[in-house]
Amino acid sequence: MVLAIQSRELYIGYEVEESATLWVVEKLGIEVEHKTTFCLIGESGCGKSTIGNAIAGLLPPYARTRGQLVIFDKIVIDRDKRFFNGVRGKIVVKIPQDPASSLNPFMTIGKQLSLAIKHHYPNLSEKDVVNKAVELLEEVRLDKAVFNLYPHQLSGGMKQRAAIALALVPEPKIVVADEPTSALDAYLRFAMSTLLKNLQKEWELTLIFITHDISVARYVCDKIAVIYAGRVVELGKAYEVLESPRHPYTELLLESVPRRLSRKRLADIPGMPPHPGKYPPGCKFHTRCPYVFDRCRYEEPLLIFLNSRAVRCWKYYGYSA
Amino acid sequence: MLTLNYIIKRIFISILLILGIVAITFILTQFTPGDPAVIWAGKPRGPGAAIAIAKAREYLGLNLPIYQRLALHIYRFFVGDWGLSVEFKQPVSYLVVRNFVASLEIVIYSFAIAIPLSMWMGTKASLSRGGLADKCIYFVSVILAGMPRFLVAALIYLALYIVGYGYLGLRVAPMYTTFSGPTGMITIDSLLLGRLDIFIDSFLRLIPTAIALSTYPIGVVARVVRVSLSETLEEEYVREAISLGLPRKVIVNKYARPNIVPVIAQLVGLLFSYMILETMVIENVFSREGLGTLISRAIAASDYPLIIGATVFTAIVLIVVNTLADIVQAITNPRVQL
Amino acid sequence: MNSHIYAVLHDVESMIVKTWRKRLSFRIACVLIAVVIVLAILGPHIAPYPRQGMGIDIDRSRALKPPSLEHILGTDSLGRDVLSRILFALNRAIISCIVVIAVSLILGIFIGSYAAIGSKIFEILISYFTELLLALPSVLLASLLSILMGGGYWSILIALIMTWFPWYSRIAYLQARSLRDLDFVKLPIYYGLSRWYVIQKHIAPNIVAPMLIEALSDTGSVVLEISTITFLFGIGVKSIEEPDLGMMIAYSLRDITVAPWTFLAPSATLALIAISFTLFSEMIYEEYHPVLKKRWWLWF
Ligand SMILES: Nc1ncnc2c1ncn2[C@@H]1O[C@H](COP(=O)(O)OP(=O)(O)OP(=O)(O)O)[C@@H](O)[C@H]1O
Ligand code: SF4
Ligand SMILES: [Mg+2]
Repeated sequence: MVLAIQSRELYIGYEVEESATLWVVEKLGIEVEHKTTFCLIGESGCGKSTIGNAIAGLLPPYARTRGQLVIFDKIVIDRDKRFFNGVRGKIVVKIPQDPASSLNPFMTIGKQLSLAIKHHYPNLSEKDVVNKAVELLEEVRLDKAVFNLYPHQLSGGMKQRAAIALALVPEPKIVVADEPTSALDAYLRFAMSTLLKNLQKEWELTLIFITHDISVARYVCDKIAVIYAGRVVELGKAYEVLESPRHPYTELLLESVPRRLSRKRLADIPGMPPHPGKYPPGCKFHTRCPYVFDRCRYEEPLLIFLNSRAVRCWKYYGYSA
Repeated sequence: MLTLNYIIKRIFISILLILGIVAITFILTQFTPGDPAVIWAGKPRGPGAAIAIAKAREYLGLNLPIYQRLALHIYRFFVGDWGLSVEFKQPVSYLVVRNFVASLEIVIYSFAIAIPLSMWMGTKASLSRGGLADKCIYFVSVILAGMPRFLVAALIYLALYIVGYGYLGLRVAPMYTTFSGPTGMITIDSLLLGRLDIFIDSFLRLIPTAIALSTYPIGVVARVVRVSLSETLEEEYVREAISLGLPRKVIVNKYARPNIVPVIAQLVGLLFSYMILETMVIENVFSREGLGTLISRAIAASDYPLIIGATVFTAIVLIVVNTLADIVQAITNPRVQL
Repeated sequence: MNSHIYAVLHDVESMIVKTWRKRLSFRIACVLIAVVIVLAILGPHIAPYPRQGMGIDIDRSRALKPPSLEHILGTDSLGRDVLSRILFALNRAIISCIVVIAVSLILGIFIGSYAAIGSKIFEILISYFTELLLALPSVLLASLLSILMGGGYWSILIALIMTWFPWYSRIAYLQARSLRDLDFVKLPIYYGLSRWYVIQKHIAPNIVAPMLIEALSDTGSVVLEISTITFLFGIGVKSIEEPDLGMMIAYSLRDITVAPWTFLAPSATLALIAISFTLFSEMIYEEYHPVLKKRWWLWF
């Protein structure tokens, strides 16, 4: 068992004003085994992309960090220092959230691929570069003709595939896929998830899969972390978490998804997710939690480990199953 | 295909605009307050006045019916018969075109200086935004664009004067004044005709004016490049390129830079009008012949035909330049959302 | 209407206050602008030699004196105190600039928003007309008008208004077009209220704040452009009485090698005005720009 990613009490924030930092992600502690698929799930604005960017080494210069992040024994984030040389673009790459804005609109797909290939394999001949690019396009089930097209000439699904092809150029070990399916329609979503799942197997990747779509997560992932207000609130094997959720937030989240067979009522979670900088004291979910009791309001729960999973909720304190 | 449609539409619009200009000149020559003939003749006084006014009346065809006048006007406009200058006693179209081309030469040279320099400055600034280099470049460009052009020109002139090169203002040395060529731009003509001595002479004389004029586009373009490059560097696709581990040079030159080419094309079109004004100022400071010296003499002499001719010609050139800028913008930007 | 005006002023004020707190160059620019405006208002009253300032008192015996205690900025070729001339000219420059900006802003807002909510034909006509006006060079327009109307200065102001208001009407048009499909604009027109009323009540208040900042940023350019035009007008003029920065500069040009102060003092004043207005507006722009307000460097 090799740990691909390990984070220790990681805090991530953005410096919005001079010397005023908006902490978006707090106390992040996750461990991801190599060659597995790890899913981050949560509502919009809870900090999923921020975590993804931190792992891919793409935090902008005005981002602040605390704690540690380790990728394959290399400490890449150490308190406020980031060391991504030799990691970013070689070991870890990111597949973007919005395919429409993530390809260079001024270059054909082929040009972008060959630029990247030339950089990563400097001694390939011009012809080999093209061959490799076409190979990669076939790998993501794209037609050869795409090589000469500009991004705006492609459909959303094709753009996403092209972006994946680009991400595979450096032959990475870790791929962070930031909501690769959210901009697509239901059918393409399934096809894209299958593609990623197959690629993960073939290329033996560690896939960090960020989504807010539970059915996709169920289909793709091995392990899952539910994020709420920048914190992991529940962590465990995908089927366990999704079959028998423990944290009240996960329960509500699952209820809000209509299941095909049971035709359960679509229950929206009442209230709004809190914004970073305006997180409530105590348990961050207590403003919306149906089980809230006194302790939740002033004391933040710890991650409580129950067998193979962990839950951040006072309900399970002193409970051992 | 969309691009082609857009280009055809843009050209059509510019033709309409030029027709609009013809209409304006018709109104300005035929329906002026007071007597159009008096104004056309330059409000003459003294013994020859009556004759001059009568001539103007005949030229304008003031006793013809209006549709004939319109036809005559349109015909003359396109033939290039724009009247006779009161002050210089020469055809307006000849004077205007010749002097405009002389001024255009300065504008072109100053853009040639300004655009590479300001691209470099803007890139430098946006790559260390908020840092020392950015602050310096920013304030330098604000100061350059904010200084009145006559101040810049006069400072350069003073410096040259003190060193002893104050005569560098004129277009060519007196011994070459009879030289003329096909384009009217002396540096190009002399090269075309293989007269290297004239080229060096006129080039040296052009440089100070071009530098003085270029301070304005440098100040403006550098800031625009800075802003639009900064915005581009925060784009998702640049972040993707970073994620792929591409080297800085590729990211800045191949990913971020192309985005600002259409922006600059548009900006050059917009700046053009103001640049003409600034050239006039600079020519006056260096007492170099060109549109500026022509116009300031025309103003003093109330030379109505000449000023109308100059207005119309500059307006048409501006329309053409802006159309070209829009077309360049449409071509260089593959995301056609027009 | 009063409450609208109050709200707009409040917006502008909060922008200024926020930027003031953060940026040193903005503070400097504000102070400079305040000084210029105070001098422009008080200028004619505090000028050391008001008669020379107005250009009446001419005495060639004290011509082209270098700066001294008596004449802080020296004297020009007609023996007039340059400082007094500048103070008088400043007054005139600022007033004419305010007139140009205010008139073109109002014209621009109304014509632009009318084009956005008026009929289709009107919209197209206005857009062509705007483009046509933008193609006309302001100096030449000014000189045409001055020949036609006989008045020098007013024709310059009118020419400037004619070339500046198309900008504002274009901006206003773009902004109003984004509003025209919203209910608070669509419904009143649908119920038959007059378009002018809708513009006054619903469109203008919503677009005026950003346009006011835009106009403030153009103030420097307008001052520069006015004096550039008067400079070109003044080149051919033999003798000048009226205090005007551009004319002063044009007239002092021939003495530049013997008495540079007569040229440098008014030009430097102009430069100061233009630069401080540019800084003023650009700092506000930067402070509210989502990207520019943050530091950035080559971090990858
Ligand atoms: N560059 C940034 N500067 C400042 N704040 C930011 C930046 N990026 C994100 N944030 C803030 O961080 C919070 C989390 O953003 P993030 O993009 O990580 O959310 P997300 O979970 O990915 O949401 P979504 O599902 O919408 O993508 C947001 O509230 C956002 O305002
Ligand atoms: S700690 Fe309390 S408020 Fe938070 S999720 Fe558990 S029960 Fe709900
Ligand atoms: Mg996201």
